[in-house]
Amino acid sequence: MRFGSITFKLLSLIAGAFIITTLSVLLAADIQLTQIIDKSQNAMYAERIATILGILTRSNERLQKTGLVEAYVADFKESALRVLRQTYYKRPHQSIYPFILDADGKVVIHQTLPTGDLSLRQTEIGQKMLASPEGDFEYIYLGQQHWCMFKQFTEWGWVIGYTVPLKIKYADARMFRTVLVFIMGWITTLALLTLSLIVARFTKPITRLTHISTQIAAGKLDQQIELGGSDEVGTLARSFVRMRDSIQQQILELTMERKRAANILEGTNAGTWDWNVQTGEVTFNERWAEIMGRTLEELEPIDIQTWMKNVHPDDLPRAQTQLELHFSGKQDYYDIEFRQPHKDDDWVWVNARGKVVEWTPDGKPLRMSGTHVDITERKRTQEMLIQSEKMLSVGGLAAGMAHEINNPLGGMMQTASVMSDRLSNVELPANQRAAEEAGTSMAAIAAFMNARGIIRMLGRISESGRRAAEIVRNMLSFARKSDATFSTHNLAELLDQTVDLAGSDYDLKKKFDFRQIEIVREYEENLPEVSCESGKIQQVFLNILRNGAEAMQEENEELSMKNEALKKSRFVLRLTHEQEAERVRIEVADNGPGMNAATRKRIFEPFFTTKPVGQGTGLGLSVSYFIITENHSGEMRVESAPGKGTIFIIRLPLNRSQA
Amino acid sequence: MNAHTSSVLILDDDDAVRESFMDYFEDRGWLVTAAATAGEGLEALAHGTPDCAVIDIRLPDMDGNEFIREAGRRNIRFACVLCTGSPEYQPPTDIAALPQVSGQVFAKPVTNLSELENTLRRQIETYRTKEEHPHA
Repeated sequence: MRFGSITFKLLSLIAGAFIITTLSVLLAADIQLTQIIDKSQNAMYAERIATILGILTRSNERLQKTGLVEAYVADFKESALRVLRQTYYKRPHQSIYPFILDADGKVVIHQTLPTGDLSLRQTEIGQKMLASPEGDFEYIYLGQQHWCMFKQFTEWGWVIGYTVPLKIKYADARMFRTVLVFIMGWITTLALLTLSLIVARFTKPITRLTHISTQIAAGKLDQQIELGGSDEVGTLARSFVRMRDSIQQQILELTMERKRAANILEGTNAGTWDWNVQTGEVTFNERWAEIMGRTLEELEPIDIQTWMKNVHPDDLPRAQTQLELHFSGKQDYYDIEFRQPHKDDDWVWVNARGKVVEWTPDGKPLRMSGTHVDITERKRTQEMLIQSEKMLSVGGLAAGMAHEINNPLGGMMQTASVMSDRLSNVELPANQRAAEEAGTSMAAIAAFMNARGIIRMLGRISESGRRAAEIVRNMLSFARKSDATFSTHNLAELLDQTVDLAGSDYDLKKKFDFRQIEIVREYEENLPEVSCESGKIQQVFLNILRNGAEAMQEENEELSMKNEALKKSRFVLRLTHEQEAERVRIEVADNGPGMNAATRKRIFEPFFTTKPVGQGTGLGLSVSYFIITENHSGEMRVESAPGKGTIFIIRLPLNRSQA
Repeated sequence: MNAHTSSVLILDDDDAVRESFMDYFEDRGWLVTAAATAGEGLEALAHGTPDCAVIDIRLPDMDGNEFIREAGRRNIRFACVLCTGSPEYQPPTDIAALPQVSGQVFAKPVTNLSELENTLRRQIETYRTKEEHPHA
């Protein structure tokens, strides 16, 4: 039982009532008793004094009868005192004794003081007794309360008094009081015990309900509440059950609602943010940081600056404009795509959406919530699609104009070829005839042509024409192909054939030998065959090898210009079977100079080239990309960084239709 | 050079191309006739059947395939090599099946004229053999 509980309060009240009643009874009894005792004691001692007065009166009467008062007065007084000593003073009560003083306050007879003692004359007792004919008073003597009653015997001028300690006077009253307290005490105790049992019985359901409510408040809702009865407590218990059930139901619904919301969020794989626009405080979920390959802990301290620092500087102004448009009410939603830095040195595309959910009373945005969704993959696919569309349109254009370009090219190149033949072929009879007719010899003409570089110039015309024709042919590769030309091939064989081909073909500047490049082969054993168009795949391999070889060659040319040691060029060719994906993965890695991100991103764009004008068509890698992705439903990408070489990665489905 | 002088019909509407072929083959001792349209070509055939022809596909009046068919209808047959500026061109099956038509189609620009010449000579030989021994 606790202080403050109903049971305690009830019991305190009852106990209080009992104690007050008991005390009142005791007080009333005491007053009454004191009065009774006072009356009886007064009567008793008045009678005793009267008896002593009677003895003295009779002795005085006898003295008067003798007629010789003067002569016998002393004898008679002595005789009266003798009688008194033998009666009242014979064995007097130790503390209750009568005494007689004469008119001068001298002791006539006293228990302890000798006759003629004057010590009482000056005391309070003496003074009071001599002041009036009779009466009673209380006084303190030697620290004890006493009561004194007295009466004067005027004939002899004596005062007869009785003195009683109050302790003795009220001894009976005290005794009675003790007994009464004892009885009342017991009654109170017994009554309290009985009542506490009864009260406890009444308050037991309340106590139980209190306990249950405490448990419920602590969150333990599944409490047994079985309190029957039709009284108030029963009703209370039943409403309690209803309240508990309703709370339980609401908690359940809330929990389910929260879970549903969390599931939806998880399903969308979205990062979330909740922003106090006025203070700059922000709450992110873990996914928000995860999109950037980080944890929230890594990004601390977290506030709106965390976001600002993690948006691409080129995109941030756009994002802020969007926010302002939403804040000013010009747009219902904030919805924007921007880049964020990824831990692995790259950018991820994020779609941020949000809305102000709370405004300040003066119409400023207070709280804004929203999501971040990683759309990098979508962007990449989009870009690839755009790339493919671009290539297809190039292909369509090429198909339309190839004939129109090839004919003039034919006229130009074929004419150049015939010209070269006519100007330098000394064996040709027609040439010899014409030379003779002109009065010269074919040898002289040929010598002139060589000396003046005419044959080289014609060669240049042919070479330029050939390049133009190659561009047209490459552009024509950007067209969708049917399966007709597909057959299964061993990629290891195709790759090796291409390396041999590159060895004989590579003569771009006639001073670099492809065969000096170290070739490291890491082919997985038992590679499955791949359905492909072998010529096209070889074209792709050749383009990659040529690209790498040229890059490595250029690097070495630069090194030799700086008189630095040359690098040993190396290709690593890897072939692996990705069983799960039913793909073969081809990796061609060179140890060349690598490329920066800007080049890497554009490398598959048609007509993108880093080579000087006239040296590259800018189509080789884009044609390769197109052949792999469009014609073979594969994947092609490049990994490279300055100083780290370049890896081309191609993944080809074993069967195009399965991709 | 050659004991027997062979004749060739150059059928191409592009002047520069046609002339370059003519110049080349004349230098090599061929008897060259040239035509810029199929109509001109058929007219030329009326004056005499060449040993062979270099036939462009796209022509202003009828295409090269039709020219070969038309010549066939007129019972004029000679070795043919097709030469076109259309990179995607594949001869239709009836043309490809003809014994006088070479399986090798040349794409313009023809960078190696001597290869074309060699092919023409081979085709003349092949067709002549087939004609003499049709069931060989």
